[in-house]
Amino acid sequence: MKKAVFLALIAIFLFSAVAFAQDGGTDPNNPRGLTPEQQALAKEVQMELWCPICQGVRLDVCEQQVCQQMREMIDEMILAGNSKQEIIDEFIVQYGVVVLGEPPKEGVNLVAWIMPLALMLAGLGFAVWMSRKWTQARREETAPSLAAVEGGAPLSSAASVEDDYLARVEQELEEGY
Amino acid sequence: MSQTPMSTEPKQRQGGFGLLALIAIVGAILVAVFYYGILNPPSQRASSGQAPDFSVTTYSSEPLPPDVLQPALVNLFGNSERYCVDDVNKPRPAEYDSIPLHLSDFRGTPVVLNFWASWCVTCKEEQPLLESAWRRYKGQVMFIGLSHLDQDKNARTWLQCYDVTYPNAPDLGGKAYNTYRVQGVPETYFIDADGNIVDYYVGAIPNGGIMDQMIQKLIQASTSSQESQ
Repeated sequence: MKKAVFLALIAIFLFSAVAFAQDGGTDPNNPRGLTPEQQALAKEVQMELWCPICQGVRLDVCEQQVCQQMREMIDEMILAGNSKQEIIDEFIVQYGVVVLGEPPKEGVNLVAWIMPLALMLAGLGFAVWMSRKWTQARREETAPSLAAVEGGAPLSSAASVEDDYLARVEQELEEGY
Repeated sequence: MSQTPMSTEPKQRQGGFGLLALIAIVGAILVAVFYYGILNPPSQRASSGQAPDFSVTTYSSEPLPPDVLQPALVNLFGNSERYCVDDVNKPRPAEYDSIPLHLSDFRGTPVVLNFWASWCVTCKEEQPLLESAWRRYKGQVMFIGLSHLDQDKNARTWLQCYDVTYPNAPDLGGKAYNTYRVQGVPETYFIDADGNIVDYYVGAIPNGGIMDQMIQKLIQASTSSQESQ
């Protein structure tokens, strides 16, 4: 009798274990059974999108229910064979550009839109100014030695020196001062 | 005496002035944009005057298949499903099945416009009140629901769960939400027969008494405005 009860208990235990394994076979972090590549793509998309109702919270770390729904939608779209860009485009249609984390083009937020352009222009202007300055300095450095060659005068060691002060002294000396 | 080497200084100074001028211009632009932003803040919520029109397409009235509906119900409401009606598979009214809808279509009828979302917790308390009010005031007042930042499957699961019979549509891209300057869901606007905003309620309307009070005010405002014409 005891043996029968013992065997029955073992059978129940084994049956429950099998049932649990079947039921709990789905990973809570991957309930839709995405492949590792699909999971990587889902993560990539999540990292490009932002919680639409939070301030500066990326989708992959957002705990709001709206974000959970968005992550589900990403998984479903990946399983349906959509590309990263197709998924992002669909989110823009359904949720708006707010999912891209862009500040609205109004009020003080306008500075965020204008600033990069203004800094780019300033950088470009600075680059042009610097290149002009360098070109000019180079031209002035070579001018005295060229003048000496054209005038037939021997090249002194000072003329070849890249110090324009010494070049000027050399020139003044040659002119008799 | 040659002046060539001496002439570099004014040129360099000229270049330096150019750079300074550029920095000053860029700085001036940024300051101008900043002050323009300060002086022209985003417009306030639509709280009075003409209600902005919107164009949406209502959700399908077809019930979702059980294999889609059941997991979606569990996702939205957990395992309790305590809010849902007994027969969640009942088809919703065919007259609002995937039709284009504009606020201006209802000129001449007072409108209760509700912004909601299936992920919104407080909307769960409010939805039965809205449906009950719609059934009581049908013929006198039009109800429209716009779901915000929502997905077709979840929104339709919600509508089936609460057996919502007034027209509901996705507010794609949050267009109406942004036009009305809604701050969050739920929010409800009460728009008279002439299309003017009479009142609005931020958050979930807490009980049927307040709902009735606001609808009565809306009907009264609509009647008096039509009488004065």
